This record gives sequence, C-alpha cells and structure tokens, in this order.
Amino acid sequence: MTTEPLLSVRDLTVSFDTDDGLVQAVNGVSFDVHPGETLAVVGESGSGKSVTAMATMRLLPRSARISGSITFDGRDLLSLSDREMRRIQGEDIAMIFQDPMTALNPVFTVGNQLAEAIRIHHPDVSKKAASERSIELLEIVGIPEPRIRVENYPHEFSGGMRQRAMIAMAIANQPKLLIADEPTTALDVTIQAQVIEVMRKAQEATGAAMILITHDLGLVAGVAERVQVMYGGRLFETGDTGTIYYRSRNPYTQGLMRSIPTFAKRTDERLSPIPGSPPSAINLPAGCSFRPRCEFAEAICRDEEPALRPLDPAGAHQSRCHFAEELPDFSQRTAEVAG
Amino acid sequence: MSEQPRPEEAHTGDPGLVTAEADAEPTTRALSDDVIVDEREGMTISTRSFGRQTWDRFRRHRLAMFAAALLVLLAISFWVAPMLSSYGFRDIDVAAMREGPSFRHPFGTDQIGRDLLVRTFHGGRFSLRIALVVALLTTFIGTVIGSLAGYFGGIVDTLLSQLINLFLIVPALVVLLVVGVRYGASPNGIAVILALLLWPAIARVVRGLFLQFRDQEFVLAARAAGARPPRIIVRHILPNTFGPIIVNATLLIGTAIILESTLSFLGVGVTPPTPTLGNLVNEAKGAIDSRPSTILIPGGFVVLIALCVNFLGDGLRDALDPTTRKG
Repeated sequence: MTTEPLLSVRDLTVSFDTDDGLVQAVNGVSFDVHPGETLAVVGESGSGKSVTAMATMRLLPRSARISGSITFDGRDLLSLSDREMRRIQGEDIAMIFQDPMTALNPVFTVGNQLAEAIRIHHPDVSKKAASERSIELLEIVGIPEPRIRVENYPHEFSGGMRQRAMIAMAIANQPKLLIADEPTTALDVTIQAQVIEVMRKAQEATGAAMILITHDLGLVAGVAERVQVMYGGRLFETGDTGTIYYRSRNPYTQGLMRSIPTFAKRTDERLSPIPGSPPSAINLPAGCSFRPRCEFAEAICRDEEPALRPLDPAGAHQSRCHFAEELPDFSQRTAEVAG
Repeated sequence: MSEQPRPEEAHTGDPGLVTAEADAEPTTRALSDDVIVDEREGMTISTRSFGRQTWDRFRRHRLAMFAAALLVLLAISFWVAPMLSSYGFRDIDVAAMREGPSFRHPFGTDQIGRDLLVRTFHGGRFSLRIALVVALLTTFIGTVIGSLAGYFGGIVDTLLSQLINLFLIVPALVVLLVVGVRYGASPNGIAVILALLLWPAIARVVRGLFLQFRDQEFVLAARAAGARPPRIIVRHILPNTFGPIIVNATLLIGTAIILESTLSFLGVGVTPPTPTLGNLVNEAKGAIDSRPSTILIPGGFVVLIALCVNFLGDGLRDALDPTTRKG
C-alpha cells in the first residue's frame, strides 16, 4: 500500500487492574487501516479485539491502562482532550455496536435518534433538515417506508432493522472510519448476510474505511480486504483475505478455519473444533499463548514466545509461529483429514 | 479430492437480498387507518404518534381515568364553589354557631359560626396548592442530585449519597415541629420545608435508575456519537426515568397532603384563620362526639385526594412507557 494510513495503531497495550490481578487485554498490537479499505479483526471472546476497538474510540473506562499510540488522520487519539475527542467521535470515527436491542434508546423514535446523531456535530442543521436526512439514511440502509418508520420506536423494529438503523446512525455524518463491533452476532443467521451487505453498501456510499470485528471468519470473506487474527491479546496472523483463507501459516488461524461449517463438506465429516478454551488474560501461558491447544507445539514453544514475523518481502503476510514456514498448507491438510 | 472452504460458501444466505432498488416495489399495505403491514419484514407498523399512543394506553386504565376526572372535578370545585357562596372563609355568622348541616350551611358551621363548606373548599385549595408545590420542588431537587450522583459515580456519588443519607436520618417530624413553630406561617413556607425533607426519597430512586442506565449500550452509543455528559444525562438517560419519577411525584402529592394535614393538626402548620384540610380537622377535634361530620368531611377529602393521585400515578406510569404495548 502506498497511501498514507488513515488509522495507525502502534504497540497498543491495554490492561485493567482487577481484584484478581492485572488483566492484559491487549498486548503490543500494531496495525494500519488505509482509507476506504476494510480490515477484519477475528478472534475468540477475550482475544482483545473489542478492547482494541474501544481503545480506538476512547470508550474504555478510566481504570484502563493504555500505552502505545493510536494515530488517526495525523492526530494521536490517546493524547487528545475529552473535548477534542468528542469532536471526532461520531463525526470522523463512528461505531456500530453488537446488540441493536440495547444500543438504541428505547424512549425515542428512530428518526429522533438519527437526527440527534447529526445535530450533536452540526447544531446549525435545522430539525426539519435533520429529519429529512434521517429518512434518506433509512432509505440507504434499505428500510421500507422510511417516512413512516422514522416515527417508530426501536421496539417497533425487528432485530435486523434495528441493526440497519444503527448503521444509518453510524454513517449519518459521513465518517472516515467505521468500527463495527460484532455487528451480526446478536442477529439471526438469515439476517446476518443482509446486514453485512447493508454495511458494505453504507461503506460504499460514504467511502469510509471499516474495521469489522467478528469471531466468525466465514463472515469476513466477501467484505474485508485484509484479515488479522487475534489471540490472547496478541496479533497472531495478518494478511490479505485470500492469503489467510488459502495459505494461512498459523495453527490458530487454521483451527478457526476448520471450525467453519460449509455446505461443501461431506455430511459424514465432523467439524473439528479447537480443543480447550482461550487463555485467561490474567495468567497467560509462558512462551506461545496458543501452545496448550496447539497440535504442533514443541519444546521451543514453551520456552520462547514467537515473534510476529513477515512471511513475504513486503511484509503483508505475517504470522506469530515458530514453525510458520514448516506448517503444512491448509488445503493439503484438509485433504488429508478428508482422506 | 480436496475440499477448500471457499470464501463465497462461508456466506450464509443471499447477500443480494437488501438493495435500495428492491424498495421500488412496495412491500407494505394498509390494514386500517393507522396500521400498515410490512410484508417483507413480516410485521405491522403503527402510524399513531407518541402522544396519541400514550393517550390510548392511559384511556384503557379505567381507574386512572376515573381518578383523573375526580381530581379535576375536585380542583375546579375548590376554586369555584367558594365564589358561589355569600360567605368568605373568615366571615362569622353569629346567628349560627356550631350548627349541623343545613340549607344555609350545607357542611354546618364551626364554633365561632364560620361556614364550613366555604372553609373546607378553601382548605382544599390551600392543601392542593401546597402539595403541588412540594411535588414539583421535591422532584426537581431529587432528580438533579440523584442524576448527578448516579451518572458520575465515584467521589461525586459518595458525597451526594452521604448527603441523601444525612437528610434521610433526620427525624422529619421533630424538624417540622421546630421549624414549623418558627416559620410555618405561610402555605409556601410549609411547602418549602416539606420539599427539603422529602427530596432524598426521589434522589435515591433517580440515582438507582441512572446507575442502571449509565452502563447500557445506548449510553455508550451516545458517547461514541460524541455527546457531552450534560447532553447524555438530560437527553439520553433522563427521558428513560420519567415513568418512575412521575409515579413518585404523584405519590408525593398524597404524602404532602397527609403531612401538611398532620402538621396543621399538630398546630404548627398553616396558621389560622387560613384554612387547610389539616387544620380544619384540628379545629374540629373537640367535636368528634357531638358533630363527627366536621372531622369526617375534611378528613374524607384528604383520603380522596391521596387515593386519586395514587391511581393517577399508576395509570401514567403504564401510559408513558412506550414498550408496554397492549394493542
């Protein structure tokens, strides 16, 4: 990529002081997001993907200890005052939340909330103009009869419609960056693809870059240009979507891939889940944090934490594994398993 | 044959389902004047406004409707009835002292010959006025302090909660007696004293509600949209707490009327000859055996008003919550 990155996160570390000890939620994460591109951040619960997003949005509680830097559009977000940050929130960076049931205010009409999102940043826009724009926004996200719907309360919307309304709210001010935190997790499977499609459309309409946070690798394919996989607060692998899908060089990513159900799989073939659970963020295992669950683990994995290493000259594909080069290709391995 | 999880297959469903173009074809039809069916989303849309929906819900609450009507009727008669009488509340009819109900004095007269109907209705007027002022003032103080404590938490909450507790442990009756003796002359004075004693109850309710709403995702969403704390408190959280606040405020009207009556009965409330429902009962306390109607009538009004505001509060709570939709 030759363009200047829109968002540049360097060595981001977030920890929380709890009664049980220091929780390392995010540990030395660095990545870039370029204008207009979509980056998917994939990982299990507790991998630190949401905390990374919340840190970028500056929405973490004050008790969070944050170090590193987050540069957006040439400004270091972590050193801005609350007032300066509020000018960016909702205007330049907007967020789509996981649960549309609770992320909309139950006592205001959808139109009211859309207008509010606009008028927070543009108090000079008249109520009438804001309401017209709300109708337009609902139309962009494909809500039928937007002129009537704009007067409805959130509980009069279905789950998918609410999430579409949230997307409309997020793009209200034409942000440069959209952060979608598990936008489809709370929705029915049949609605998920619709919502992803609406997000893609919304992104197209505004030209915004997007960080799509999800635990569902399957959702990522048609949407994101790049994928980064997180585990235990660390980046485990990053690369172009195609590279990650076909030539993953990380046992954890490959484990995630194998746990995606596909119609192409034979019915007698069982899904192979990754054994065990994600590590506790309080007490990460020594060496590679994935070691206890990894089928390739050897002595070195316990003694030495692997670094995130570039696997091609451009450094577009990076993996955190001692055996990144020796790992069998994912396609070959599934072939073996399938027999 | 190797099987690769191709990206396309990982998609669930047809991504081309929702397009702006598809909306050119209407998916909705009208079911009645104010209900539209949306066939693609499989749900009905109501086109009634918020005010209309609230009114419709309130109307269904028969007891609340009845209570509201009765309160309005009482308030009107408190204002109008004394004007129709030829007696003022201070006028003494020397020819008719300690009389029972008669055509000239429907509620009878007191020991110095003042018309009790006029005095009762004037008393109702003062009692109601005091109660309304108390309810408004208490709700205002309680909401401001409760919302600040609940939203900001931490040291702000600790300080304000201690203040709330301090006021809660003050023995209300003793303070009222002491202050009442010194300042309790005017109806407004009584109202202010009552408000100063009652606000902690509201503050605790509001604080609890703010604690509950502060961490909800829509508040986080408001912060993510760049809203400032005052805006979040007033525009985003406060409207969610209106239901419980209104219920508590209406309950306060009842409490205030009863407290005012208690004070006046104890002789430290509004000073005679200005009548309130409470000091009418006080003045008549010697006549409980000879003429019980002189106590029962003003006492009955106190009970009636307190009951009505409670039913009204109930109905308002149900009506104001947009998520209770029973048709």
